Amino acid sequence: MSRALYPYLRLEAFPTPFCTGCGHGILLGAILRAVDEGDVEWRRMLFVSGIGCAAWIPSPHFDADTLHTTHGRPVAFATGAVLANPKLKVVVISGDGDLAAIGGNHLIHAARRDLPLTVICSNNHLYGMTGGQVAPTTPLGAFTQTTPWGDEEPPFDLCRLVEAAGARFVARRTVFQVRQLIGTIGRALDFEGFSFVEVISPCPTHYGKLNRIPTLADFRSRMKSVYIDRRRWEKLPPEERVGRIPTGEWRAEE
Amino acid sequence: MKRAAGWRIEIRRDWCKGCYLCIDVCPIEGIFTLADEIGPLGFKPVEVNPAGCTGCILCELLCPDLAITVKKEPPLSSPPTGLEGESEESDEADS
Amino acid sequence: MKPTVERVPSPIAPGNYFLLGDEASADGAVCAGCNFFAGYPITPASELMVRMVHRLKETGGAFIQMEDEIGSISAMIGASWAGARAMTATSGPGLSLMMEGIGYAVMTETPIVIVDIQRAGPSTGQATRPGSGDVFQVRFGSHGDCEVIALSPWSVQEIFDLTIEAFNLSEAFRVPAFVLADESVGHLREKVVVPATVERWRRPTKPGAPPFDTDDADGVPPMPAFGQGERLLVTGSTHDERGLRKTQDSAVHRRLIKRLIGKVRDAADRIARWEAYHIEDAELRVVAYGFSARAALEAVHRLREREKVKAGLFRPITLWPFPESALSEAAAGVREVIVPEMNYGQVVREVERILRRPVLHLPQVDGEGMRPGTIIEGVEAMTRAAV
Repeated sequence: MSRALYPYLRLEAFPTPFCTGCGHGILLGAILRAVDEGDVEWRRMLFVSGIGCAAWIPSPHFDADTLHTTHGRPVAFATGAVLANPKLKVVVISGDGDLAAIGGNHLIHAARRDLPLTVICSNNHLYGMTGGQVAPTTPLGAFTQTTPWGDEEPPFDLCRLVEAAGARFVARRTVFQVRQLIGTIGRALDFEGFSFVEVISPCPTHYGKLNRIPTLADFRSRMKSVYIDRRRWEKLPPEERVGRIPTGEWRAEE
Repeated sequence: MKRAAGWRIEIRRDWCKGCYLCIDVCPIEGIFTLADEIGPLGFKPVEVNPAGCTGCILCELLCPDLAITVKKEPPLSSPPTGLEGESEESDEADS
Repeated sequence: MKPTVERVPSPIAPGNYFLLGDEASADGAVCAGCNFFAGYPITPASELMVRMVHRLKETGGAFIQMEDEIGSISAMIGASWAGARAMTATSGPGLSLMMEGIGYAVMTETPIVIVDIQRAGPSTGQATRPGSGDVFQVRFGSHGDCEVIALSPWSVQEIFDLTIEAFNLSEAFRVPAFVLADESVGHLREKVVVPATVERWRRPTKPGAPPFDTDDADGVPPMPAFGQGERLLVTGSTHDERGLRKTQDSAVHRRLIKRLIGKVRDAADRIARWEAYHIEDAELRVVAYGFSARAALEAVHRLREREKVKAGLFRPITLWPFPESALSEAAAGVREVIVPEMNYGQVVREVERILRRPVLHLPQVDGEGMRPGTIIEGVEAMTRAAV
């Protein structure tokens, strides 16, 4: 029940500043539900976030220790905090631009170091807060404020990037796969080393408008045809994988 | 009067931003509809008629504004006739 | 609120040592209670970082070599809010990278210590040679109004002592504190006396109290740490006393920035440190700091003995806040004020601003430590020109 989440919330900060239909709000609820179902002590938790819309998920909405850092640096701040006090359960929540563009270096090094951190990247494929500019996650051909004729740069596959850097737990879900998302976040939090969860999130205000996606329902249905469970995706022949992205969890033991 | 166990759906009109994801994902037609008038945030919030709700709580899980709470209602057996019996739960009407 | 003060036995065996400046600073940090170091290799500060690896292993602190200097300052701030006394060591190019983080530490009132072993710049410059080019950078390098504390040592003993002082001041005022040495001191070997006990200052605490505003006259609020159940809201955005973002409220911004600036400015006379030599007779006053002050003292001696010039030296030890009233007093009634620096004009601007009088600037920017000859020749040229 959403009301059951109230003990985790700083209620005076609600309603949230997120746009209508913003996926970050769904992720906010999913994270808290995962924490609620798990057994990490809330008091031990530290939420670190950078700059951008996704970084406002924990700060100020979570009634917990939150650290709202400079742009791109939450993973580095989190590194210092968890090393200085290993009893803290440190979770980084930030956006794709923040974590993979300006913050890319800190992300890959934290993965390499296998620090006990969970990084949740809310990926809406552009820089939302500043009006919808291109990001290293923007799909080829997509329209943004700085790619008005279609993005000519191919995007990162964040899961493969972080996995290649050494992470032993990476996962991808969309916000609409909400039950699986909650389970995945729970398992990422339980993982004893560095864990990374990429959460595909719709930005109806900028991505939706710039790419002419008429409604949130259309956005959801588009995402449903692109993001398919990895078990189905792995069975597809290569030509059918084009334009489709697998979701699920990948652990190093596989 | 008997009433089978059912579901109550509560919407916070002061948090709902009118994204209508609940209307989109709800598997049962007619449970969520658009209000006629604009709510406190400047959007038309959703209104709810829980008859037929299966308790899947997808609406609650997917609401980006945490504005939906789905609660199981216990079955009700005959109240004293002629009296407006008090509900077992606190009266949490749609705000 | 006042810091708590305690005197503890030195974690390093007391006695006489012969140390590199970088090493002495590391040892001073450990004496001050430093238990977190995040750094990146850079000439001429790398030796400090390497010393910290070993010292922190002995004392049980945390060490991490980060992927860059931005990671270093970020990790330090995270660690400080987790309760650590955090430090890094760098030089000009690394300091430039840390600017955003420094501003963040000022805005969030995070105690951190940055040791800057300055080298000849700008840019890559002469990595293994000294310069004093970062004086303004530590205070004005970040965007917005920032007040910080910066200390300038002139000997290896002093870099040991001032590193401890930097920790104490940063804890007491909840601001970043800098040890502004240069390569001449960082790579100098001299005797250091490690004392038997060390005085350590610690940030004030008051569970449940707001961490970002106070009515106390000193303007320093108490500082909790993560994991204490305080539900901290640390942010670089303008915020109210609890840390809640208030980016549209001009009253909040006015109050916050005024208090942050006032914390250091209003305490300037208490924080400022300086020394003076031969200033009883007023004629010529040399204002010099750091390694340049060593050359200046030698120049003063030679001028007094050989040329019978009544010269004296005023040596600011805190460059920020600059010891303004002490300088004014020391320069009162003096005929000439001379500022030799290993840069093209930084502290001299402060001196001019404070004294509002003509000042002779003697820049020596050639990648060498200040030479007494530079100062003596400058004085002689000035004397000839006046005749």
